[in-house]
Amino acid sequence: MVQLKNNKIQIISTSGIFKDKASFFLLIEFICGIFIVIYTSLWLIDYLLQGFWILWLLVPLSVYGCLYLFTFTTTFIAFLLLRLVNKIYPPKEGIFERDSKGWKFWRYRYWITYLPLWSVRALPLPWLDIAIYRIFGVKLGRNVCIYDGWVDPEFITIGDHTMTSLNTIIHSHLIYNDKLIIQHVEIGKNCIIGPQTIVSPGTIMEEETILGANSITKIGQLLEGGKIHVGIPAIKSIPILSIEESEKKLAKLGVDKYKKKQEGKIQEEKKE
Amino acid sequence: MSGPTSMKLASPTPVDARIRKKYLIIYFIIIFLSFIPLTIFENYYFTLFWVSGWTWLFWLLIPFNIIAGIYIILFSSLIVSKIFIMIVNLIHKPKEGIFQRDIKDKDYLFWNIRNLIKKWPLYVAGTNPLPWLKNKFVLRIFGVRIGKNTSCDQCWISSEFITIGNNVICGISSSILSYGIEMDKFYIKKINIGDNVEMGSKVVLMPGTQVGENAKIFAHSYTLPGQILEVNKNYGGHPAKLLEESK
Repeated sequence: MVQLKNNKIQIISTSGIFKDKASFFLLIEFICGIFIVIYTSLWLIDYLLQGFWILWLLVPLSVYGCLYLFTFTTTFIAFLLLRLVNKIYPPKEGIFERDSKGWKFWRYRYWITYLPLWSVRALPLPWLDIAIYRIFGVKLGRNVCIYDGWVDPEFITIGDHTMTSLNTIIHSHLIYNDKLIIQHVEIGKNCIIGPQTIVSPGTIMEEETILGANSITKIGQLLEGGKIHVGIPAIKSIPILSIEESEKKLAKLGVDKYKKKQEGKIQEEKKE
Repeated sequence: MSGPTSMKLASPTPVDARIRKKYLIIYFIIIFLSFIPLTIFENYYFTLFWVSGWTWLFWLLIPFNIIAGIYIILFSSLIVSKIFIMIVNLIHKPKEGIFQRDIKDKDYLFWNIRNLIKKWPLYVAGTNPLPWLKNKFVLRIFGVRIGKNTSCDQCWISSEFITIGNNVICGISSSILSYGIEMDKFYIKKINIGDNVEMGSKVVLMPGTQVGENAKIFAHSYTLPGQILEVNKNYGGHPAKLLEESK
């Protein structure tokens, strides 16, 4: 486990991407992907040039298939490269200095996984990105939805039926000054992560937790199960209520709209 | 960890719908002109390798052809829109200040036209799968000063009246906006960001913000218009306030 002495660090969550020689991994994947797409569709091009005009009807289908073929070949090459890089330096949690070996290999891993994730999210079926995250070693349960957020491709586990919303950030890495912090993120079953939230590295969300909109978690924070957590950082916790229960509560507090609604309900009950 | 599907990473270029209707023809002219160099290039590629009988080389060089095509579109769209911008700037010079949010106001009108012209190259740069010559390069051409070793390709930056120093980290999905709209007022103010500044993810810098060197802005905070952040200090909150020195 990573231990931080400084409390103030726990609020910042910077994540910058540095362009360097490591991004040439991406070029290898790109070129290989296009090669394979071309050589698998060469037979169709050959028939078209010979004058089988009916085959033009197959062209839209071929383009559609080629898009998927491209993403999966890049994924396959990225997977092989990732295996190779991980054999040289196995990825591990901890705090790393700038220009140390851990920092360098984190950047390698980032650039290797960049293109497959970019291309799967540019496809007409962006939900497919779950498959590619699984190939890269992220443990995802059933019915998980993560295509509308920035999710790291390592050190993350997400349980079954968890939903994430627009522009959520789930990071297992964080940059502070000249240090890189990597820590495992655990999200349980049936969780909901609201829009515009940031899940910092080391966060543990228990089962059936809701992280409210616009909130941040600290590094290594534990969110209790069965509650709504809100705030920057998420300090407040509210019990989850049904709609009727929360309306009753609001009526007690004197919110006019809900008071009238409650009175109307009581009158209806009396009539019956 | 690429961007969410519903959010493109092109820089923000909002255009008033009333102005967009009138000047939409400019947008199509820019797109049309920027495709001409690509067609010339593809024509030469085809005649050189296919017609002359080097078909195996034709297929072998296709990946490099696609990479070259991406950058040819980027450069040609940049050159075309830069020429358009220079012509528009000769008619009316861009300047800071508070203006009326009205089509009759010349500054508001020309700000919208500039955005309309910049939209296509910024879109091409934002959706480029390769990490070289992305948003940073295009913004630099349009007059945003960005220093060395600055990482700012994963956030939204306005395309004018901004200077960013060296070694700055702009966090993921943060936005730096040099324009604002308040009721019927429209204002443009310059933003200055010093060297070695660290910005967390989802930070919003409002117009007129001055960030000193080595300052840090914590994640998920925003600044007030015209706020000054001092050198070597930490800021955070809604709006950003000075935080105690870390021990």
